[in-house]
This record gives sequence, structure tokens and C-alpha cells, in this order.
Amino acid sequence: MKKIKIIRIIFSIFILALTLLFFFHKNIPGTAEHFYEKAAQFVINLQILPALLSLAFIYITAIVCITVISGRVICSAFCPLGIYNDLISRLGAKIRKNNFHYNQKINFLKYIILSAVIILSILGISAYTGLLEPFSIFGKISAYFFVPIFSNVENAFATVINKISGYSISHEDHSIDNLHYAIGFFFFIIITGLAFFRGRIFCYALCPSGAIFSLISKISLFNIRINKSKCVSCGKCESVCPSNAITENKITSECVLCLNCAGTCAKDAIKYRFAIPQIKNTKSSGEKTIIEGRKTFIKSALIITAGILTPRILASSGASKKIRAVPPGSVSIRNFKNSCTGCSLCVSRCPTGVLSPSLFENGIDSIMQPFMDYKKAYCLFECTSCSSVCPSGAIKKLKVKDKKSVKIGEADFSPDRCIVKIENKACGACAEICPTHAIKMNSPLEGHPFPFIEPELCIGCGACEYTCPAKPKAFIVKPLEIHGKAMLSAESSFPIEEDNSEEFPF
Amino acid sequence: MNRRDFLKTSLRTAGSIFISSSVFSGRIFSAEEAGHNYYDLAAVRNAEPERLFDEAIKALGGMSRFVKKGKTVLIKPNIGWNIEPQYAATTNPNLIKRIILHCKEAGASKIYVNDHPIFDWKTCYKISGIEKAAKDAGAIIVPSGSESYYHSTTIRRAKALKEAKLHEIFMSADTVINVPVLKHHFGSKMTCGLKNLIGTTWDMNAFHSAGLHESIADIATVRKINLTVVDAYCIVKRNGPRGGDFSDLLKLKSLIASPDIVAVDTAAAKLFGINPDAVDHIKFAADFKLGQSDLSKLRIKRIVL
Repeated sequence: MKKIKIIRIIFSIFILALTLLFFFHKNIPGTAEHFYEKAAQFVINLQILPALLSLAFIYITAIVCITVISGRVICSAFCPLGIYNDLISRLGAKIRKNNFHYNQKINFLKYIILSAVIILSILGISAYTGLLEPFSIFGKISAYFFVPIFSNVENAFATVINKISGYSISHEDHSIDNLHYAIGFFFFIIITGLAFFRGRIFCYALCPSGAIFSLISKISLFNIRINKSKCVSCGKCESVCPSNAITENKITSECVLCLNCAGTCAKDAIKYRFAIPQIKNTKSSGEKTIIEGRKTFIKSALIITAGILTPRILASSGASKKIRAVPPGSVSIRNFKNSCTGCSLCVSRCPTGVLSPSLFENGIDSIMQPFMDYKKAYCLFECTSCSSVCPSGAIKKLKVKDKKSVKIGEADFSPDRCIVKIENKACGACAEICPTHAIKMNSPLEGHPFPFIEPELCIGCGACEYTCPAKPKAFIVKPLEIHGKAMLSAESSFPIEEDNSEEFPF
Repeated sequence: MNRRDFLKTSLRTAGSIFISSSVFSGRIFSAEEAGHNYYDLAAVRNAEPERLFDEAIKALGGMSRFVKKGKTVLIKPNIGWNIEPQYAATTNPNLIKRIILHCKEAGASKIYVNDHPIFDWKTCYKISGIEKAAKDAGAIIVPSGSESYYHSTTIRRAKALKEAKLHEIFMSADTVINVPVLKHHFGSKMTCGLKNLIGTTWDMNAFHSAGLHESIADIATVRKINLTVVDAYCIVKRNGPRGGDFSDLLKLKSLIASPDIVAVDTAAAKLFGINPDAVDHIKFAADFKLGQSDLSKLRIKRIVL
């Protein structure tokens, strides 16, 4: 079993690295998807809560089947946060000589969190799900904490390499501000600290996905099982179990198949093997605890629901609700708010950095959900990277061809702010950058050309707002609550004109 | 200090004063090339881009006139847009490839290719076909996606843009070959050699707020542009600078090249079909004495193939 354990660890480190790499590199539109990107996307699609939110039936079925057949493999080998927890807990065990003791009560907490998450999803406030859901937490740590560090290290490395071999690695600036860096650091410290001191406490006590897997894995065909005839009750396995899953020679459904116990058992009594699962009635452990448990469950669920509803009520009662644009594929601001868990994968993959992390900018009920910040950049016409990576269905899949006519907002032109009018300077930056030719310039007989807009062609990409040199901006994009469809600028099919004259005009 | 040292020093000083004065008065090649019979400007038409360039550079005295053995070269195409080369919004990749090969032949130690596109640089380099062309020919692609490559520089002679963040490779390359593509432009009427230099700076929006035409001329004073090659094989006649519609294009199959950036833009304006006097940045650049805007004063080689 020790060999399998080592293979398991190496494989999970590989999966973790793959996912991190996906966060580290922005998408380059127009290039073919690399194999590692496809693999990383597959791993991300295997995250159960985002899959449930996006109603991705194929993946949900796959996840359930995998767990029913082989136990909680996803937790140990495909959940990036779980793997990270595992590695840190291993480090903690090495350094602190952690000894784990079974604690039944704490395992119950995750079911309360799961029910809170279900209530949240029904109410359509997934932003708060994202504060509890493992992939979203992992995403926040990666996008806000690891990416800036990685980017700085890579740039420093590039500087050294470039001294020798000249521009073989390029510098890339990241777009994470200090506030979000601090938020990422906050999550990083909490997760790392918990794992270092308490093993996989996040997985067995807090994780709502863990709660789902725990329920399913009760009927798993293959699982870790103790051979009672060989076991001498030495208790070694319990002390090395970071998942709080071993008690009284029994393995509970908290087991994520880390294989620590199997590796440590001197009698070779613990094996990963097949058995028809039997769901036992555990009344023997006392009906009292169950009733008490139910009471705590109902109380806690009520408290959490109330805590979650408060921001929703506050947000809806807020007087001036300023809406921000959400990326193409979101269908509507409502859908985006309902489904986005703020994993920030789209923020990391966005090539221009227009998708920006938020805090409360979009309302209290959409904490940390990204939005389109046209002050920083604009949405690339040919790019669909956010829609192709979103695991939770907040940004639905779009083909590049269809994306080009998705209208997420409409640019509003204030002629009185335009520098052509105010300062009598030649400009035209807006018409130059507009990808749909919605902004055009008239050609007056005297003076400089002046912009005008054909709103039906505008898709709200924000290029004009971003590029406008006027202060305040002459172009401001007004986001649409429900995304529409823009007219496509008519492309004439004339052949290219040719001039074969044999003279020069000079 | 003995007499010999004194003589040496004074000779050196006189030499450097002479060189610097000739640089700033715009008479760049007069000293070393007095004996040669090079044309000041070459205009070629009716052939493919590679052939056009071969003929033009021959008329100007060969690439070795501009690129010295063991020196570095920066080729500055227009890679402003993420649009395929057939739309002619970016410099023709075949032309870039040919220029790189000529530089190699002249013995350049390193050949760099760089522009600061309006869109994501990696996308633009790729879609424009210039990345592949440059790499195939053995040039080094210089990234422009990070502000850390751009260093703040005071422009001493500037009238509008007193300070700009310029790409390190633009400042450090021994030779700069500017390869614009001739296009219509909403803001500056036309975009050619002078306008193309905007792509050496980080904050391109600063040009619009400082005054577009003035800033374009200002940036041209920063350093010597050794050679400007105008790609007029296919030009964007209307709705520039991006175009994106074949009906906006006009196939001229032409190329203009000259070490004099003002002369090249003047000729290009005429080829484009507008009066060079109506293009303010050409006028401002001529006022800086960056070149000759009166084409009748130049020796022009016109080649029709």
C-alpha cells in the first residue's frame, strides 16, 4: 500500500501544479488550446459545487459515478484545495509531529454548511457559496495571492535570462491590486494554518463539497476498509489520519483515501478494497446525540441563513444600485449573480485584465464576483476565454463568432466632453479602437473629424471608454441588465481595388 | 598633459562636436557618404513586397549603408491590430522577413522586432503573421506587454509631449529601421513613418491628450531613425487605421524607402492622395529639421517593374 500512497501523492501534486499553471497563464486568443489547458479545464470541471450550479449533467454524473465506484478519489486527487491541504498537513505532521484524535461532533459542521450553501443557491446568492466552496477558495488564493507572486518571480527570472539570451522570456504585468492581494493572503493564511495545525480540518469539518462526497461515499464499492481479524487496535492509524475518519477500528465516510493509515499499519490490516456497502443503523451510539445534533443543525442553519439574508435585504433596499457590466456569455446580471462563486479563474485568464476582482462594488450580495472594469482595460473582440473556463455556469460557453454580436452594454457619447470639441485637437482614438465600427468620424470641411456613434452596432466592449483621452471620459458604457444582440456591421464583398498605374504622384 | 595628448583631445572634441551638430541639424549621412552617389529616396511599384524592397535598398546603396557589421538592429513594423495580414492593417510579414534577411546579410549581430500594439501584444504579433515571419528569418521578438520595458525619457525638443516612456530596445538599438504600413487614420489623417513611432511608447493615449500631431513630431526627435520603409503594397484607403473590410483597401503594389523620415512621409501622403501640407505632423517634423519635405530638392529613384 505504501507504493500506491506515493503514487497517489505524486499524482495529486501533478494535478495541483496543472491547475496552478492554468491560473498563472493568461489566455492568448487566436491560439490553439494547449493540451495542459484541456487537462486543467477537465480537473476544474470535476469540482462538484460549480458543476451543480452550472447544471453540467455529464460532469455531475461522472463525479457521482466515480465516487460511488471508488470512494472520494476526487477529494484526494482532483480537488486542488484538498491536495493543498494534504500537502500542508503532511508538512505539519513532519514538523509538529501532529497526532490526530477522532472527534465525532466536528464532522457534523459541514452538513450545516452544505445546507446553508443549498439555501444560498436557491436564493441565488452564489457569491457567498464562493466563500465556503473549496475550488472558489483555491481560486481566490491562486488568482489574488499566488499569481502576483508568480508574476513577480517570473519577471525577475526573465530579467536575468534576458541579460544572457535577450528577450526569450517576456515580462507580463499582473493586474491584482493590493487590497485583493491582501484578501488572497487572508484566505491563504487561514487555509494553510488550519491544515498545518489540524490536518484536513477544512475537508472534514467545513467543506460543503466534502459533505456531498461524504454522503455519497457511504455507498462506495471500493473504499478503505479495516480487516477486523488482523487488527490489534493499536490506534496508530487514528493518530495519522488527517481527515478525522478513523474511530474504534472503523473508517467513517470522512475518509478521502489519503492512504496514510494503510501506509502506517504494521499488521497490514488496512486495504483499499471492494465490498458491498452496508448502511448500518447507528442507534447504538445513542439516540440522544442524534436529537442534539438535529437541534444544533436547525439552530445553526437558521443563524447562517439569517446572516446570509441580511446582506441580500440590505442590497435590495439600497437606494442607489449602480450596476456594473458582466462579461459576454453571462446572459444577464441576474444569472451572473446567481451562479458566480467568485473563483476568479476568469480574472486570471482574461488577456486584457478587463475582468477585475471586486469586493462590494457590485452590491453586498455579490461579494468578490468579478466585473468588467473599463477603466483598466476593455473586452477583446475575438476573445472568449472567460466563457470557456467558467466552471459554474455564470459565464456560459460562447463561440467566438456568436460572442462578436453579444451586447453587454451600450456606449453613451457626451459630445461636450470630447477633446476635439473642447480643445480643438485631432483625436479619433475611439473610432480607431472600436472593433465593430459603431463609432465613426464625420469629415467636416473645416476643422478636425468628430466622432458619432451608431448604437445598434455597439456591443459595450468598453474599448472607447478605456481609450478616450478626455477627462471625464466622453464615452461611458452603460451596462445592460439583460444582454442583447448587436447588429453586425455589414461587410461588403467587394474585391480589393487595384491600381496598376506606372507613375508616381511625386 | 603633453602636446600630443592635447592634440588628440582637441581633435576628439572637435570630431564629436561635428558629429553631434550634424546629427541635430538633420544632415545625417553627409559626412561619411559625401563620395557616394546614393539616392535620397527610392520609390518602387508593381511587384511583390520582397522584390520591391530588393530594388529600393539597391537604389539606396544596400543594407550595409545602414546596418554595420556586429551592430544591433531594431525593426519597427506596425503590429497595431489583431487582424490578419490580408487586411493590410499591419505591415506585410513577407516584407519584414525580407528586411531581416538583408540585415543578416549586412552582418547585424542581433535583429530585434518590436511594436506596442493597441490590443494584447501576443495576440497581435501572432495574428499579424509577423511573429512567425520574424522568427523564421532569425530575428528576436521583443515583448511589449509590461511597463517595465519602458523607461521614462525627457524629450528635450518637444513642443507638446515633454516626457514619454520609451521602449528600452528603441533607445538602445544601434540602428532603427521603421517599417510602417500606409493607411488612412481618423485622427491623424494618414499613418505612415512618423505616426508609426507612437508604437515605441508605453502610454499611447498620452498622444491624444497632449495633441496628436505635435506629439508625433516630438517623438521623432528622440533618436535617429536610420531607415524608413513604407509598405504600400496594399493600403487602407478609408475607415483606417483598422479597416477590416476589403472594400476599404487599395492594392498599390508600391514601396517607398529613405533614410529621411519626413521625405518618406511626404511622398507617401502624395501616393495616398492627400496634400502633405494638410498633414500637420509632417509639417511639424519638417520644422524640427528632421528631414526634407520639399521633394524637388531630393534625388529620387523611381522604379516601375
